[in-house]
Amino acid sequence: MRKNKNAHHQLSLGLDVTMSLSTNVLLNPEFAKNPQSFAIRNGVRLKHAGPPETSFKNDSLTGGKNLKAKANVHLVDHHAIRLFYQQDKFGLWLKTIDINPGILLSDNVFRPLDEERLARSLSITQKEITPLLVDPLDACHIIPGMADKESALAYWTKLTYEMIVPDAQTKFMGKLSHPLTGPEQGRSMKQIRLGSRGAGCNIEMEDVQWVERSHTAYGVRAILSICKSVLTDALGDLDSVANINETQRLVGLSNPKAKRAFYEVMSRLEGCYLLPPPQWLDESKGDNTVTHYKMIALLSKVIDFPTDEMIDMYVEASQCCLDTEDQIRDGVSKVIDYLNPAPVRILFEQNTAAYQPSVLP
Amino acid sequence: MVTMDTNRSTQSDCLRNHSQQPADTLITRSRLITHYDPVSSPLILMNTHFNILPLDRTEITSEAQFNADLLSDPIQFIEAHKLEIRSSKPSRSSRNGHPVSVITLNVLTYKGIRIQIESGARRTLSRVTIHFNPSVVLYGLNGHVITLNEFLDALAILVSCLKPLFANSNDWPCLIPGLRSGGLAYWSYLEVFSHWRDIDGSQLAGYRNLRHPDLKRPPRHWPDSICAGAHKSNLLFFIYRKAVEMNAAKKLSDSELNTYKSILRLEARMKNDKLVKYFGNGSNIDVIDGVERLIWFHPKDLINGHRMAFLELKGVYKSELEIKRKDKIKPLDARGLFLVNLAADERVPYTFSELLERVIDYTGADRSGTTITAMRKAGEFELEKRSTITRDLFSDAAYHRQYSVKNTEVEKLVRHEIRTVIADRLILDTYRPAGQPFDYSYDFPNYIVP
Repeated sequence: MRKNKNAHHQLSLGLDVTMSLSTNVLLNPEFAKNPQSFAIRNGVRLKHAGPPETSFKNDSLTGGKNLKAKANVHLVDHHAIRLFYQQDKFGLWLKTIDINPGILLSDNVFRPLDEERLARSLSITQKEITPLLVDPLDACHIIPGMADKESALAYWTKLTYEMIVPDAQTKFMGKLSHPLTGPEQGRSMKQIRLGSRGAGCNIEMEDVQWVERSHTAYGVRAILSICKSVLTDALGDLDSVANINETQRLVGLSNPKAKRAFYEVMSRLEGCYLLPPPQWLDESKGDNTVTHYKMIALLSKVIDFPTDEMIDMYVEASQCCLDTEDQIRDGVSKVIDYLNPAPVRILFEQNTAAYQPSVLP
Repeated sequence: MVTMDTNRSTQSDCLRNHSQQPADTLITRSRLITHYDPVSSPLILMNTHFNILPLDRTEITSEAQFNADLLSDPIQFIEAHKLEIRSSKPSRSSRNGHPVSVITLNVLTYKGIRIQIESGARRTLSRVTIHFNPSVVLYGLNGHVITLNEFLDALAILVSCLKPLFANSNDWPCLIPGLRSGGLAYWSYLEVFSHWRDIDGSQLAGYRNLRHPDLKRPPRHWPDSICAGAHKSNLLFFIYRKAVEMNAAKKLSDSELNTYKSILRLEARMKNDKLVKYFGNGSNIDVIDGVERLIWFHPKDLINGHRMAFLELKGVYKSELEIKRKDKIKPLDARGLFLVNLAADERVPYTFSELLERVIDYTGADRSGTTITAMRKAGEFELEKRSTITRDLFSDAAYHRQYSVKNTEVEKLVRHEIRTVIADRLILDTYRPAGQPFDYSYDFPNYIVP
C-alpha cells in the first residue's frame, strides 16, 4: 500500500505489510452523524472522516429513492487503520478494514514486523473500533479468527507487502515474469508491473528517491499484493480457513506465515538484474560509448538471447565481410566476459529486507 | 419499453410518414431519423461534411451561479426536486490558496455525466467542471461512433439535466461552450478516436514503435493496447482493441467479443494548448482568463485534429520515399537495422524503441546525441519501409466508414423522453455546420422513447 504523501516521518518496518479484511457488523448510527464528536466522547483516535458519498437508487417497490451512504474513516493516523462503511435503511455497516502496522506503530525505531508487533497492531485495531459498534459483542467480528469458524463474518481479503531495495533501479531489470502473473507488461521508464489490478497476484516495481542523512538515496520499491484464491492458497491450512458465505476464506494469519508467503512468491520471480560495468560509466566518452560489441553483448544478456544468433543478425544487417565478422565475435566475447547478470529474485531475499532505509520514500 | 426490433423502420417508411405529419412533428421526426449503423450497413458519404463526431470522454470548464439550496444541502435538494442523480459527494479543497467546497454529482442513473461544483466564500459564481461522455449518455457504453445528430441529442440531455441546478434556469447556456459571446465556458479535455478493422493484428503491431515529437517517453505496451504519453500530459495516444477492453470491464459478453474483436481504437486524448493546436479552425478559439481556449467544434475540426495528431507519429506509416540500394551500409544505420530485426523476433519481448532505451540506459549515451539519433532514424526508416500501414488509413472515405462496438443488452436499458433530446436552437446554430446535409438514415435512435 502506497502511503499518504504526508507520512514522510513514518519509519520502515523491514517488510512493510498492509492487511485488508472484510467484515459485516453494525456501527453506531450516531457516528455517521458527527464522527468527530462521537470519537471524542468515546475515546476513539479519529484522524480523518471523509464526507460520505450518498447514492440515490430507485426503489422498484415504492417508486421512491433509496438513499445509501458510504465513506472512508482513518483512525490513529492517515492509513494506519482505514475503515469503509456503508449506510442503508437497516443501519451503518462496517464493510472493510485496512491496517498498516508500519504507520500504526510508528515508534521511531527500525524494527521488522514480528509476531509481537503484529499482535499489537491487531489489538489496537480492535480496541479503536469496538467503541464504534452498536453491540460490543460484535468485537469478535472485527479481526478475523476471533469468532468461531461457524459464526465467522470477518476474513482476510488482501495482503500488500512493500519492500525497498536500496541502490537498485528498474531499468537494470530485464525480461521479468512470474508464474502467478505472466510476463511484465506496460513497462515505463520508472515502473514495471506484473499482473493486472484486481488479479489474485500482482507485483509492481517503481524507482523511488528519498533523503537520508542529508544526501539523496535511491532504490526500487517492490509492492506485492495477493488476494482471492492466491491468498488462501499461500497462507491457508485447515486451522486458518473457514467457510464464509459458501466460500473458503482465510481467517487465521501469523507473521511467520505471512512473511514466508512474500519470500516464497518473490523467489519465483524470473528475469535478470544486470548493472552496467564500471568501465562503461566513463561519461567523458560521451556518445562514443555505444559500440556494436557492447550493444550485442548487453542485449544478449538482458533479453536472454543466444549471442551467436545475435551476432549473425548484426552481420546480416551490416553486410560486413568475413574478417570483420571474426572481429565482431572476438569483441563481443570480450565484453560478455565482464557482464554478469544476477537472477532478479536475489534482490528480494530476506537479507535485503534487513537493510531498509530508515526513512521511507 | 421500446426495443430495437419493434422500433425499426426503413428510410422509405419514414419519408412516407413525413408526408402525413404536421410541420412541427416533421422536424421532430426528421431529427430522429439519424441513427447510423456502419457495422451492418457501411455508409460512405463522399462530400466535405462529416456525419460522425467520434468523441469519447470530454470535459467542459465554466463558471455559473447555482441554486443556493443545492450548495447548502445537496441531498435534500436532490430529493425535493426528484432529480435524476445517482450520487452526491461533498468535499473540501483549495484553489489559489483559498478554501473551496466541492460537490460532485453523478448525474443520470448510469454513467455519462459528472459535475463538480466548486464554491468559495468570496465568490458569487461557482467554478464547474462537467465530465460528459455523449456516447455513454445515449447508449450506456462508449463503443459507439456517434453521429453529429446524436451528439446534439446528448448535449440536449446534458442541458435538461443541468437546468434544475441553476439559480436561474435560463442561465444554462453559460455551461455549454460557444453559445454565448464572451462566455466563460470552454472545452478543457477531449478524447477523439477512430475505429478501424485490424483482423490480423498488423495495425496494432505497426503502432508498437510509434514516436511523437512532443512525447519524450517511449510508449508502454500490453498485449492488446499501447499507450504513449503520460496520463497527466496534454497529449496522449491510446491504441487498443475496444471490444477486448469492454469485455475485461464486463461491458461486453464473450460471444459479442468475437463479433467486434478486430476493431482497433486509435484514440488521442488532449487538453489545454493541444486542443487549440489540433482542433482550432481560426474561429473557434477564444481567450478566457488570458488563455486561448477551444470553445466549439464541428465534426470536421475533430477529424482533422485526430488525423493531424496521428499522422505526426514517426516509425509507423509506410514510407513513400524511394529506397536507394547502397553497396555498403553505414555502421550506425546497421545498428538501427539490427535493433529492428531483433525486435521483430518473437522471442524478444521488447520493441525497437525499448531496445534502444536499454542501450541508452546502460551506455549512458546522450538520448539526443548524434549516435542515438542516427540509430533511431535508421531504425524508424526501416520500420516505415516495412510497415503495411499507409496514410490512406486517415482518408476522408475511411473516416466515413467507421465501426461501432455495441451491446444490445446494455443499450436497451437506456431510454430518454423525446422532449429531452430536442436541442435548443443555440446549440444547433453553434454545433451544426452551415450547409450540413440532412443525414438520412435507416433507423430511429433506440435511446428515444417515442
